[in-house]
Amino acid sequence: MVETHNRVRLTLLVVALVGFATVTMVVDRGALRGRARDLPPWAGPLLDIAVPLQKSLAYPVDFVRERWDRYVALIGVQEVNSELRSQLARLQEENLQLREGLVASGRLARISEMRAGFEVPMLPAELVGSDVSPWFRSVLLDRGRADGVLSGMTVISENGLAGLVVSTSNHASKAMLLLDRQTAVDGTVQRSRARGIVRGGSDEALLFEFVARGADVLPGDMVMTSGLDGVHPKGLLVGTVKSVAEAGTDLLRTAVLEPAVDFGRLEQVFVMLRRGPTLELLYSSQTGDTAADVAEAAP
Amino acid sequence: MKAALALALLGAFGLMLQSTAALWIPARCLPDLGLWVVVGLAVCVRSPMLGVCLAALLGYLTDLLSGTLLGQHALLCLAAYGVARVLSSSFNLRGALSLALFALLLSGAHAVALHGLVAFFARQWVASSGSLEDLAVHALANAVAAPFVISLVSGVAAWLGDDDSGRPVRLEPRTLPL
Repeated sequence: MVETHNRVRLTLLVVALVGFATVTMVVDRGALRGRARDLPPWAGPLLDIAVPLQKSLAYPVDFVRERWDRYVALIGVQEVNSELRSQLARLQEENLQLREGLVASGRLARISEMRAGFEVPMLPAELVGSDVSPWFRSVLLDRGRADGVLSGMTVISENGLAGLVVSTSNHASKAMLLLDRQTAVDGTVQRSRARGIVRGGSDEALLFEFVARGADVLPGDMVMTSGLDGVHPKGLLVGTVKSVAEAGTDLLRTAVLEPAVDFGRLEQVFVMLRRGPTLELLYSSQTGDTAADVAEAAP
Repeated sequence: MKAALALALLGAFGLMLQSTAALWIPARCLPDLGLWVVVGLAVCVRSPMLGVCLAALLGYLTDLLSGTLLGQHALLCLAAYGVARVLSSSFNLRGALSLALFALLLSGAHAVALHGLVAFFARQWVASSGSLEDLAVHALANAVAAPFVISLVSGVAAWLGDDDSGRPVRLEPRTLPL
């Protein structure tokens, strides 16, 4: 009798847990289709607890790496320094010439007026964990809603576009990296303005898909965000074309890109505290929170 | 209760360690520590109620530290728990060799099920040309790590008095013809 009772209880428990898991998946799928994807109330605190614990787990490795970078890896820095100095001098000269050109055409004053509208506040964030599944590429950041971070904000590194914030808790957030197969970014070739969609590929490479057959794309070309997807701002470096597949009889071509960001060495990123117009429209219509409101509320 | 807490903490610690280590080591070279704690629960822990609850909890924690849909790993952890529980009643899943073999098979099934769920729910196919190679490396990492993780779970369960290895077996007295 007791055994039967226990068996019934176990069956009910399994059915309830399977049902709950299925419901959460369906709800999360809805989030992928444009609804706000903040973590449910029970999950946020778990992520908040994980962040300091993971930071402490990473501390010994970070300590050794920092000491290595500060002392051992500095051998040969003098040559790099002199090279950078000469590069800086060249760029300063180039900058001066460009400014002269702009002043001459009377556009500098107008550009400086517009600049305030373009400047996006950025928040530095540290990577405290990476995806536990080898099939997905997301990272855990140590900044959350309390710092003004919202789902849909762009994540960059000093080298270019790194990914997009997909879910947040109070003190942590999850960002999907460009390398994830679920990512799609509207890109354009800087030299020829040829357009395509950048997606995560295999072996740490990106794919530049849906490039028109006759479009001018060559190895070495730099691909930037076009801004037309309304998700990422225009002009962020995505990667460099490594190879372009022959079109054959197809109307569209695919190129392989080397990402601008070295994802294997990514430690710190910057979250752009403003969402693209498409995501801002989508998210603010559901939650009522605009990125500007949250950024103002953040310390 | 003590055993449940200790095993939940062990699983959570394993997942966080895996997530932190993935910052420096490619994720495919790291074993699924959470999944192997779940298998350990199925093999070593007596109470199925406790095992099922912890499997779901660890699955949700995995989902939080991964880019999947919330609930996906929870569902797969429940399935893995069920499979391991059923198999452990017929086979010895405590031996290193049998566990390594089971780990290879489960890694493959887990990856297929995960991709299937993403394709079904998110309408996206995340496998690429290099996925088979990734799977081979990952399965190997799992096969190496599984015996260690399961012996750890067994040790914790035995220490806290919830090990299944000492469960009483009811033997009917044989009636001999006089």
